[in-house]
Amino acid sequence: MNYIFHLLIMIEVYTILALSLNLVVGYTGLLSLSHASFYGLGAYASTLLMINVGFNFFPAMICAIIITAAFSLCISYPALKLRGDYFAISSFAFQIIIFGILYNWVDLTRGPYGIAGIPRPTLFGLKIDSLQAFFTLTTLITGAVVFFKYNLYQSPFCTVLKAIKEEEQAVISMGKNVVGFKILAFAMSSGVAAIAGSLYAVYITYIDPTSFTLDESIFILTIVLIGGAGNFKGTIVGVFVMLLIPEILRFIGLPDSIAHYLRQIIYALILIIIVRFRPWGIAGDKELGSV
Amino acid sequence: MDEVLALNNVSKSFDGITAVKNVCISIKKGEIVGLIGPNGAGKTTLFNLITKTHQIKPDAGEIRYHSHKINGMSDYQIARMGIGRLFQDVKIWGSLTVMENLLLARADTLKENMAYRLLFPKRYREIKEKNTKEAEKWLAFVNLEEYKTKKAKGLSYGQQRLLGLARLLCNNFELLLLDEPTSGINAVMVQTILEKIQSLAQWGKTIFLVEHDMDVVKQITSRVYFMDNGEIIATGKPDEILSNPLVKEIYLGC
Amino acid sequence: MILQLLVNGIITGSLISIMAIGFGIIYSTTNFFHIAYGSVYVVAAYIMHTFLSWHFPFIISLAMSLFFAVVIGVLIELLVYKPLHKKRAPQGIYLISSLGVYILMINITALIFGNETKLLSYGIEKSIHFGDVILTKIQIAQCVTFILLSILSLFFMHYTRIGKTIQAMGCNARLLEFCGVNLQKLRFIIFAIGSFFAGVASILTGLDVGIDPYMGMIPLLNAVTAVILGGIKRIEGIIAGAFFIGITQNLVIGYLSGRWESVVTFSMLILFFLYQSGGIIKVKKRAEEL
Repeated sequence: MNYIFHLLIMIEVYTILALSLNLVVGYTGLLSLSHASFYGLGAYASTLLMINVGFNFFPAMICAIIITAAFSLCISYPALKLRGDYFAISSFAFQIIIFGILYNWVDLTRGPYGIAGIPRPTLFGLKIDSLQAFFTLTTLITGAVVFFKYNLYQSPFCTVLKAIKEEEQAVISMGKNVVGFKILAFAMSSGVAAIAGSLYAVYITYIDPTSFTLDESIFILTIVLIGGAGNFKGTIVGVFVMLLIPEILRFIGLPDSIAHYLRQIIYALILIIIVRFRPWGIAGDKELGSV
Repeated sequence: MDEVLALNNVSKSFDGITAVKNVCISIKKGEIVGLIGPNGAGKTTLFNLITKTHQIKPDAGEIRYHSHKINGMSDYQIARMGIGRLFQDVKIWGSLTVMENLLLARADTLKENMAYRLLFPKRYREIKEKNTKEAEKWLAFVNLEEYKTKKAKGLSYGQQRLLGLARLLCNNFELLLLDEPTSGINAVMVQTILEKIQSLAQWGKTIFLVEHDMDVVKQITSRVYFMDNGEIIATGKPDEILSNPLVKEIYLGC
Repeated sequence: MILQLLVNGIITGSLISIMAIGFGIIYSTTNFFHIAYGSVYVVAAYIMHTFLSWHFPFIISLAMSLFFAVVIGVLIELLVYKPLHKKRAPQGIYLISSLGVYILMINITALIFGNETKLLSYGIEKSIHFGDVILTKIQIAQCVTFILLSILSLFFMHYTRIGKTIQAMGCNARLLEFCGVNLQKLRFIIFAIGSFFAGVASILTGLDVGIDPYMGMIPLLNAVTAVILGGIKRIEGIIAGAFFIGITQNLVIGYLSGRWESVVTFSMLILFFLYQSGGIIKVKKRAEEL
């Protein structure tokens, strides 16, 4: 039973991550390879605020959202004025930079040793300690995020993003600040990733840089692509598919060392095959899909 | 009369190749002015310079809109000043519905502001209603009401042009730059579009259009500029220009 | 110490140059980021390792490794990118596929060979002293190879028919197609050349510091940075970019710490974007405008 709860909590964390990345990749049409770095920034920011400054979980999470969104400007501000593929490559570089900082700034982040003993959140004086209580908390937060995203996707703001993805010139010619829209969408997406990061940190109570690598970014990207870029329900399907694959491999009973590589190989094959044959995703809408 | 658009000695070259050279143009309010010339004369580049499409800026000279200097502004600010553009390939948003296309084109940006939507739901709804009303008005103007909820890419080419035009009107632009509004459209539809353009001019909109079809030019423009190799060679009434021997030689090859 | 750092910088720059010239040829013509380039780099080193472990002579192992690097590069083009050309897929699709190929190849390599560092050469290299500066034989080989390859590639690009066609493809591929050039054949040649360079860079690095399955990412990003800093089209520029990165990295290692090497390099890339905003776009948009 605990195993199921653990799996559900992780599915919720990844739902938040995938929905937020979808705003950028699916709706705005920007290829971001740095989502795990924002996930990590969120986790580290809220952890450090809780441990070093003594913040409570919720204020720490809100600060982490703001900090992470601000960091997203490092990529979006310089790169968005340039060619589309420069955005992808800057995000790629940013992922390496953030990993390098988390790994090497030992004084602040304890580097490769990671930070252990992250306090569990308390809510109205109630310590959320049991798995069930934690599941309730993540479900509530995920529910809020899903609700927010669902409304966002119906809003005129998102219509502009879709239009940008389709005919950027026409949006500019209507007097809209396209670069501004993209920067805002990217910041929102990064901020939401910080929520997932904060939840992950207080759930596992231990973080280290290896949870936020390029592989992780690609993993989240694969979820989005499986679900279909710009597709809401598809993203959630994608989360289930991608998170259940390793569990299935585990049941087959492969040794851990092989299973790790095999998992990556499967993800890579999925990625290649999806963009080749179904760029709009397994569950996606053909008209909206494709990056 | 009021001068809407003025180009003074505008030049642009790409890697040493001159695309636009010392162009001077002056357009007054309510005029329909044509820009003609052979392919590759630099007509679209000139439009791009005015709207700063693809971020291209003039190397020399200035562009004024209602006596405000606009070269130096960013692309979307130029559009906000009131200069609308219909692209040669229309550039409608195909995956959005016809109505969404029009609502998106509305000029006020508050409707896209998430915070505003949450903080002032009542004002937001008012804006939304006003926008819908305005969009429906222009939808009726171009006779596309029945396609309101259809995806825009399902429209015929001519209808897409009309939608493009309606989009410009929805935004309330004052100066419309139309890049070949009638190319690739059947004759009946051409007449519809021309009628719309003419009635717009009567309402005080200023129209500057690139056109290849000389019948169209004769029918609606009051004045044309003839452009060749990046330079304005002649300007005047359409009949005069089309009978100008130099123009005939370059354009009609006779 | 500064002299030693500069010399080290030049050696690093040589290695980055080799990698970057190959990447640059592919990027300037196909216009997408060939991330799988990093996996060609890794696989080449492992093929070298395999042949050496089967007790083949050094030269044959080297030749086989380069040969297979070229074959793999061309196969990636044939199996992954060619179908995408046919569909006229957008750039993002190429990038994602390329990323997929990269992960696939890296993990297959790791599955077969394990993820610990392996050595290509055994025994400590004898070092040679020039005054205060210490060099190893391999480092000298790296420099010499770089000089030979750069002269060769400059000559190739400027004075041979194929080289000129490749340059023209970078400017306007469509036009070439109208002129009756077989673009697909040209692409195979480009990928062959590029992968050859990756193989050379990989073996020269492997001989010096050993190999592991994850060795490809940092050289790849160094190459990308060099190509972008140096201006995509010109080999001279790419080399200048590579040396700039190599020397900066070694100064960082010398005065700060080796740990910050990659952070500094890629921050330079992002700062360059910040500085450049607008500068590059003009050149790129020209073709559509005229």
